[in-house]
Amino acid sequence: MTRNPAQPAPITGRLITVLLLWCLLGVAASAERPQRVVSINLCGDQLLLMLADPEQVASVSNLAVEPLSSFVAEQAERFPMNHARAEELIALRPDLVLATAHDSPRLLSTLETLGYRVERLPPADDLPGIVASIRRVAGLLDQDERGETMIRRLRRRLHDSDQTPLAARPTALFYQPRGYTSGRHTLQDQALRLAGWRNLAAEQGIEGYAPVDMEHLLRWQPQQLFTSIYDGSGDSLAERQLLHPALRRLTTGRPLQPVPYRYWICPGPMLADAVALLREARSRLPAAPEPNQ
Amino acid sequence: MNPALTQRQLNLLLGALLLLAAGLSLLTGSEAIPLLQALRESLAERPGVAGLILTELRLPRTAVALIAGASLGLCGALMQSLLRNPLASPGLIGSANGAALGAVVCLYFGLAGAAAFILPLGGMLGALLATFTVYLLAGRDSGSLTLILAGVAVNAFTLALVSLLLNLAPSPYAVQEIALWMLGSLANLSRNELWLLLPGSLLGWLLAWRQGRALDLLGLGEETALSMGVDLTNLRRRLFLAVALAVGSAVAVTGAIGFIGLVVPHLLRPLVGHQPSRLLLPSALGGALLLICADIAVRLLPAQTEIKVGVLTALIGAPFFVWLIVRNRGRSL
Amino acid sequence: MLNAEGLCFYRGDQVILDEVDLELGRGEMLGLIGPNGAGKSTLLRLLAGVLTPDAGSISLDGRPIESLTRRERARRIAYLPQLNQIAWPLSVERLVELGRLPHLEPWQHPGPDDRAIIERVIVQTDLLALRQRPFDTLSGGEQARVLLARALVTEPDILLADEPVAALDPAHQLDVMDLLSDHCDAGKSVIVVLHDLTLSAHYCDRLQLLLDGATLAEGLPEEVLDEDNLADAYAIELSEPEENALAPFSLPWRRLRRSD
Repeated sequence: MTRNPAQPAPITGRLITVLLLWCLLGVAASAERPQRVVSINLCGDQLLLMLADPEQVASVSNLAVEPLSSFVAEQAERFPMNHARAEELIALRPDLVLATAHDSPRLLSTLETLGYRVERLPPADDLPGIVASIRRVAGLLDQDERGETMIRRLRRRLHDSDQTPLAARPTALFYQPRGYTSGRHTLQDQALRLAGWRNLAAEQGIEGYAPVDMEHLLRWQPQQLFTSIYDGSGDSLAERQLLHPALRRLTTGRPLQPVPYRYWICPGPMLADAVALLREARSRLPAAPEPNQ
Repeated sequence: MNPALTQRQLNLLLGALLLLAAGLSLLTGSEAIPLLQALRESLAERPGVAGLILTELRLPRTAVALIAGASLGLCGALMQSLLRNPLASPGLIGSANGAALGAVVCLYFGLAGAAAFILPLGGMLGALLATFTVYLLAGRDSGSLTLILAGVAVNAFTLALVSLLLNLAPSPYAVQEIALWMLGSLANLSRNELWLLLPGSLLGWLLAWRQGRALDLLGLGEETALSMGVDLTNLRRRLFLAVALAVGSAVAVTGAIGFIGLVVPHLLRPLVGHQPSRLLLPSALGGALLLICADIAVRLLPAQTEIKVGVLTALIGAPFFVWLIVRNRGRSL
Repeated sequence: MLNAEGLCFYRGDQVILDEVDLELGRGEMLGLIGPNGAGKSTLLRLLAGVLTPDAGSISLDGRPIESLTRRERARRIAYLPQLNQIAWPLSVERLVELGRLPHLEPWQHPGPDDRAIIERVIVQTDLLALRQRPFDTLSGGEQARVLLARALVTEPDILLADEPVAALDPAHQLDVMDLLSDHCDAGKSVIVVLHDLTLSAHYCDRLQLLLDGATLAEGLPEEVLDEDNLADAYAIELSEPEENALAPFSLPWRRLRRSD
């Protein structure tokens, strides 16, 4: 219909403009929010399923349904599974692919060359790193609110993290199959510190994961030994090593405390649960640390 | 020819060296501990660190090295004398790998959980099976070539089976442990392993006791031995069993450590006038000595993860083979 | 002293020995002759206890041989196989010493009596100069003497020798045969497998000719070594003395004693 040029634009016109603008913004907003997110490894899977709307998830990796390693095993069963293979992933038509440094660089560069959006999540081995990871994924998924809620909850649980001075803390050590221990810059180390332990491996200067000779262990005399065995059937030389009588005598009869392996695989809010476990172990120590000399 | 040392002198010398090596082994480890203090502590009610290290780590390790090394040396001498072939060592004729196969079956598939002794038992059965197979393949009194070929075949097959089983094992750590079984290791042994090792070893040694004379006579020829009163079938049965028991137990605990059963009797044979009966005790002592020395070396070498002791014995064994080849060029082995 | 009756031995379908009898008296040297494959070595092995007969019986001094323990049998009967199967290069002395083992308990070492016997045999077999030499450094003849010495040291009542002179030169052949003969003089008995007909005629008290696993002839040498037997067994002819003019031959007959 033609308008009388002499008359000013009516309210309807302005309304339509605002409506139009609003729609545009809405479209723009939903264009930013990924609708077909694919994760090709466990760490991405977990954060994805914890932070995204179900409609956003196009596929998670086959590792997500393993109850021994995944915290989202039940949830993940509802979604299509991928095995991190190029043809599979292309068939899913993702608008965002979540990957980590452990994924095949060739796979990732292939996807990028084909025009897919690939986001690599950096590794994280301490609390700030975990927080940054959560924020990053939340941002990618356009779920910032959810991310902040998760972080708040995490911080609250760890808020009463131990302020005991170092000297007064009891000593501990992770001793895993084949004699591996966790030194500085590991999730185990972070959890121990937050739970009020002294990580002897870190104090001895060990970086990351490294095997430690049993004689050193006896010399350092940790008051508590923790272990995480992946799917331990108990039947391997690596696992039998943990049954060495010397370890028993070392901790004056206190057995190796098992901690589920899956806490250490990926950075995430589950660290709080691990810390709770380690705290509880600390509370079970006799009041004064016994001298073992 | 008059050997430079008499039999008794040789045995005493080897024994003395062995004691010395055992002492050194107790002093070797990643932590420096004062030995006297450690000895005192080990007798105390609640031992300190030094005592613990000594009694729980170093003592079992040294004892296992001693017993396993003695078994390997002795069984090498036994097999070489029985098969009348200087190459018939427990490693070459398949006993060691067969024992590893038996042990792997028992350990990784839950059988050893039922009772601790099942593990060395598996080793014994595996050793017996493999040795007997080589014996059947190679035939009696066969030449070195046939024996080696039979040994190669059986070794290759058992090795393949071990790898396969480790890949199929329920534990995710299993697949990385093939090197431990194939090269052997004395790391992290405890007194439990020592008790597992003892029965089979002692039984094996007992069966081999006093068979030296029969082996001497066998050295004259099978027919001559028969005519001189040797019960050949019984001798073979007895010695195969002895080797299976001793080597089977040893490998079940330490993995397949190679070359000791080959090198030690070879080196000592000229010193005992090539006589089978005089070779037995020295080979046992020499085998123990060699293994303890290799284990000391392994602990002294700087490396993040300890080098497997079988690597060192192979480093000794390979040049030894080269020397054999060079020395025998022109002569048939 | 030694009696064998109806000995049979089969290898699969093949008949190696068919109802063979054998008698050996005290102080007697019996020569076993016959073509290759006649079963001589097998017969010797049966008597030595190396093989078990499929049928027939062996008795020693009237007692069945099964009633003896292995060690008793080893003390009374010594066997010298055809082929040298020594596995390890022991010294001559040690090798010869092994011959005393059937007389020793498992824990016993050779005593002064044993030593005396060993010494005597070493001298007898002319091995004094060689006693410390490793076996593999000896010549064929020397090795044969060592193996014989080992058998003699056992002081067996019966010595079974399978072609002991096969690879030896004439002088050493006579040496060995003399030694065997001396053994018989001392009241012991010998069964020796020989190919050399002249030697067998010269030294043996009796001969037994085997053909295809059965006894063709048995008795005094001149009886056994007649034209018909030899033609049947070996398909050969003996030369008559007159014909010798055309083809002269030398017959080693006696060993000359060298002054050492």
